Amino acid sequence: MKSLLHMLQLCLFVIILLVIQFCVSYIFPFPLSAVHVPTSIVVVYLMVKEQRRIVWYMFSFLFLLEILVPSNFYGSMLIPGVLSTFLVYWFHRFFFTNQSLYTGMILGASMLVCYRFFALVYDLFFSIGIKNTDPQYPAFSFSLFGIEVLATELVILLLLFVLLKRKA
Amino acid sequence: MGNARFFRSFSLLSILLVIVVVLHLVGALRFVERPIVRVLSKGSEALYTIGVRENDETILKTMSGVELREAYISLQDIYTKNIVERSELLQLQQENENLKGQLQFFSEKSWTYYTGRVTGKHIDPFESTVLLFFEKAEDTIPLGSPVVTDQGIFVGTVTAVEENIVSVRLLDDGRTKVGAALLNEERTVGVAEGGFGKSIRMNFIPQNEKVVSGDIVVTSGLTPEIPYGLPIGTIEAIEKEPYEPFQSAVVSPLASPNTLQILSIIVDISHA
Repeated sequence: MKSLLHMLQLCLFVIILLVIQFCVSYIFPFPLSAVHVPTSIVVVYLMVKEQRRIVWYMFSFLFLLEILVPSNFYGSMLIPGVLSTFLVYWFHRFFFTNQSLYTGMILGASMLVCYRFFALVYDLFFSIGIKNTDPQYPAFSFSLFGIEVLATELVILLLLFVLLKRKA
Repeated sequence: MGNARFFRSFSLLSILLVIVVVLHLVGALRFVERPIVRVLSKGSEALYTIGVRENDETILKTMSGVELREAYISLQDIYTKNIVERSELLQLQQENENLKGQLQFFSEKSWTYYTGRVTGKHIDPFESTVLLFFEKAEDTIPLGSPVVTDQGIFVGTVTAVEENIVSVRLLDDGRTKVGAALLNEERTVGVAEGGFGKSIRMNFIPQNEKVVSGDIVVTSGLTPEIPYGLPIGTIEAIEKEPYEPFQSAVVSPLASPNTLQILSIIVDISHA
């Protein structure tokens, strides 16, 4: 019964995440549409709940996202997303352990850097190593990355400011 | 910190992810993915449609008068229509002069094409890609096919086909490079490229060519699979430095990438 409840909780959580992701990407104007939803969710969840379960939530969420919004190479959102979530979980557990705004900001920045790094490596591996017909470098722009970091950090800051205050 | 535990968990997670990717690539997960895509893509399409309405840049939100707003929208439509018609006229004139006798407008071609509704767009801000849903797309739509609006305006190319979902990389994507030509006297050619700043540029224009603001940009036909003469936009500004071998120009697109709803994919131009 408990596991069934957990499954239901997982499904509901993932569907809510999907709706949030599509709303942000499709409806919000730029630069708000550049907010990295998985990062915001992971950081807020870790700061509030501190449970390892977030890695599996992200796995399910990114698996669905990967089939609904296919990228050039399957897994270029799933693999970086899950691995960076896992790393950030460990960062939070052993390095940035306190529940404060600046910890949340550091975790957010760490996750974004890890995500983009893994995504670049994965795309490069596929575009050069496997799909050698018409090889293309992955899409990357420092200015856009800066906007993404700023927008995501701002959202994290606002959410944590409200949630941590309520928790205290 | 429990290094051993960390590396063990990290390795196990990586292996699991690789297994999922391999299972997807061999098609073993299709029985799960198909129903999920069918159900959830409806929701995605609904949200995308709302987004298109919200992000419609042809409507100035600062205008308050209803009449003024309607007049503005109709003027925009007329302007786009005029540009498309003018591009067709200029092309026909050039073709007649050279006794080639080819018509350029999309509706007058006997090309094979598929028309569909945009169901979503890629969520990564680094990409400008829209998604279309077609039954058996894998069998019918080849990669690299040009994609046009209902008015024949070129908007991008097909870059991936994942079972029933077709990914179309738009002109403003940073990786888009398409052969382009100007409908001026010299028939200047160059390369239309997207920029991450949501703009389109025409690069590699020879320094000695005369380019003026307002020139019409069309596809040059030099990119494989993309025919000559599909309208792209108009020249907005020219950047010319005397010490550089090429000049470049900023292109104002005829079709806004944020408001695409119905697109056609040209899959065969052999009958042209």
